[in-house]
Amino acid sequence: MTPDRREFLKLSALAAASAAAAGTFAQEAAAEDPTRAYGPGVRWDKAPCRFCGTGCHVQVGVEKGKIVAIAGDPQAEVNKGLLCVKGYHVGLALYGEDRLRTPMLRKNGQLVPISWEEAIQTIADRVMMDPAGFAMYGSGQWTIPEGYAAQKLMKGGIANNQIDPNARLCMASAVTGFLAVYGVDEPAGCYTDLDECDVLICWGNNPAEMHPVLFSRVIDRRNRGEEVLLIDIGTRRTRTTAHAQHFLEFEPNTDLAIANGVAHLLLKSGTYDKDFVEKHCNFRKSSEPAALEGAAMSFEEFIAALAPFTPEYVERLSGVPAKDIRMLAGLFGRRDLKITSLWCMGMNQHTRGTAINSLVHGIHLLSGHFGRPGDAPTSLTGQPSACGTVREVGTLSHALPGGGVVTKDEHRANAEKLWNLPAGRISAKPGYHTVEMWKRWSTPKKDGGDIHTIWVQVTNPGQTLPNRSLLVDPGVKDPDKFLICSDVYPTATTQIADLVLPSAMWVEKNGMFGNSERRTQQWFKMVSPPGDARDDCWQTIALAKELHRRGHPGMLDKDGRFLFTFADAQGREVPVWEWRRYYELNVDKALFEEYRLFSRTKHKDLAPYDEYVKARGLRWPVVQQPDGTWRETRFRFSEFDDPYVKKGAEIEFYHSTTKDGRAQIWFHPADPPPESPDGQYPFWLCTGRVLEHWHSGTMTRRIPQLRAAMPQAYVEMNRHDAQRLGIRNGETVRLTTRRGSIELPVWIDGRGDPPPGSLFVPFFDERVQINLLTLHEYDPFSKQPDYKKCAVSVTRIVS
Amino acid sequence: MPIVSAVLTLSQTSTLRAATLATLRSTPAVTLGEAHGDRVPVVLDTPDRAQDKAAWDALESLPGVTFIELVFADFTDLSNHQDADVGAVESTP
Repeated sequence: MTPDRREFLKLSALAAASAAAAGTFAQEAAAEDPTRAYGPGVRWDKAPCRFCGTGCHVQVGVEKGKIVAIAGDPQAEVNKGLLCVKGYHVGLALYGEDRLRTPMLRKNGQLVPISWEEAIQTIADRVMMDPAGFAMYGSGQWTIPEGYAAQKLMKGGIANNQIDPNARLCMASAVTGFLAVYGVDEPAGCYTDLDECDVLICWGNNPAEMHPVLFSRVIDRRNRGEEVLLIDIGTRRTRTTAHAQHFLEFEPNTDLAIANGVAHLLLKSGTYDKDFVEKHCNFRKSSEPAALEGAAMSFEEFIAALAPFTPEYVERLSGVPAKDIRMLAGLFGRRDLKITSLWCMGMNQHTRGTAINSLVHGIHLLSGHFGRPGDAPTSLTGQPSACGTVREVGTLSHALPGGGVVTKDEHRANAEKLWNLPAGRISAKPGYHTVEMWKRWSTPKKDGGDIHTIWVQVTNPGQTLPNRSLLVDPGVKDPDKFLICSDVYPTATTQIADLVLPSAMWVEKNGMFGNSERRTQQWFKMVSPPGDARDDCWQTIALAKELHRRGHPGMLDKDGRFLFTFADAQGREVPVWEWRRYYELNVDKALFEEYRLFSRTKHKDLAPYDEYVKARGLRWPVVQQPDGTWRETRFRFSEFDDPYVKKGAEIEFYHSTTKDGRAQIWFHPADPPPESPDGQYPFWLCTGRVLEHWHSGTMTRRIPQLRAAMPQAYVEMNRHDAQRLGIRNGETVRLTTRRGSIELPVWIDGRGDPPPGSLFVPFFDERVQINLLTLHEYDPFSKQPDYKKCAVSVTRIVS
Repeated sequence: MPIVSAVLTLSQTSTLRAATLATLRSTPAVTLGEAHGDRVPVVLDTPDRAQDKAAWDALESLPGVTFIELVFADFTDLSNHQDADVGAVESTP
């Protein structure tokens, strides 16, 4: 780069940062856009970030087939030109030197290169030997078309419903919470709530590190002189705590008691929103047998059930001072304030996840803090398309695209109609959820282990499954079991896989994601993948074609056409299962146009593909207007914005489980967790993420700056505990639970600060398999395991 | 080599804030823009990746910097040396 160009680039970069600092970046985008500093040799295009569920848009600069620059996209409403440290490095994530470049099959214990043809035939062999025992395990990093293709293959083709995603481990309880309360999944509000709220309550999450671009909205508002009261309810101090006016530290698992305490005070003081409740809500309690819809309870029964949850009782259970419970209830009782609640894994990775999700929704409904901008209970997701691909496409073992479930006759019939399948093709029996799927894969067939093969795409279960020794222990893998892994880098999963397939990632392929605020986003392929890496979607279609060739009856629709038949603009069939022809047409577009027909089922309407090409994402329902344009919806269930709410209703929950337009306010007791500290295992163990690394670190640990900034996992320990045990900062200790043991260094007064009796370990480091220690016990409805609390001991290692 | 622009949010404590600004102004790799309230635009221009990292470490460690948001990153030159710069990760033993 010449000095002149470098200086010009610096000035452009400073101008962009100045506009961002002033909050005028979006308005001044054309003038301040740093991409203007580049010549015609650099081609720029938009894409959502590859990492978390926020859905920031980046501008990607490509020169000579390589990414050379990344800029925040000032036209993107989500991030308004800003990025976090991971977003900055997202372009470098493609270029780790150990990218997987060729298919490899394990022969005599070693992975040896093979052709794609042999790879696809190997998978087909596994399917054909016993289709019922073949499973797919995907993720919230699948693009929407990738997930849709896998969904169609497994539910409409192989038709065993054995498909589940890693999102089962991260947001399944949010789904069941929304379903139990509103009868339909995903948040009613959007990120605008963060700009409008007077009070922001973080329930066991840490957005300052995990969703920093969203959190920056609060920083920005305060910088402009606005008052935003931030309340952090958590089990350990984090970077979010540092920005909060109130930190309510609670004993793990007692968040249900806190929520019940707030509801109790709202009722006792009469500050609940009587009008809202009478018009829009019913009351529910657990049923026998347990069901997500629960059983009706009267208002009087609801009051009586909450009566024990006085502030003093809640203080005894949770450790949160009674005055703070009163403070929270006092805020919810005020109509002049707007309150947004945010949560993520703290409430979801919880054996009572559905219950606590329901209770927090319930506080908002009871107090009427719902349906106005700034008044919203909102869950965030950790993956870029946990919403778009898992929740909307429905890649869960019980789900169908668009919010359907396999257990409902009408939903199966609808899917069979849209897929043009013979009646009865789709099984009414749900497949196994994640924990069950892997347990059955890890169990010999003679002992009931009826899953013989799992094909993993876009995730790393070898590192992230809980209680790893039980679910995916390479030391006891039955020789009859087979593991296939499509990924971009070597991982803990590829190390135990029998077949490893190299995948294209992010802008090496076309894609679509759906973020945490119902926003569907699109991008085009910009660079080529390395070596012989190929799109996951192509891999799925290629398998389907091979199964078709071998005569698998499920690969044909009722008219005898192959399930993945695509035609170009002239109507000529294109054999996209041949890799060299895969990009002759836009397979993403073809799949999306098919998929979006499902989206009307639950009023999650999606616009045509080309609308997303033009936009920085659109939030569903996206409804066509009389003038032919497509309008997104920011606030669901509110008449002022949601076109599906009846005129005059103000608020309408049009998928109510009680079919009366009302949401459900639940009572759930505060039950104990499956495992608590005791004399043998005296500490609580919590696991999670750090700012620099994303999930299992497969990508971010290959970026030198991020690896250097956070080189290895550690255990956060309270200073007083360390002193009591004679442990020094940096000293290696052994952590032991009933499931396993690992060694790692102690960090005192580190990034976070756990209270006495509590430890925290991040899970990004594959050299320190923290999930050898975690629990696989799960929520009874969502089947989501609890990674946030189990009992552990700490031992000094004396050399 | 790397050119990165960002927005720093500074502490509202005036002495800490003043000390932080003084440190930033004396850092050769840093170009400061005009502050908007607590938010200060900066550009980091460093000759190589090691100094880029060192500069960021220094920024992040300043007690008066409470939040960092990235706006833009150019690594045109780095991509020419990607094999040396972007490494492999050591595998599980």
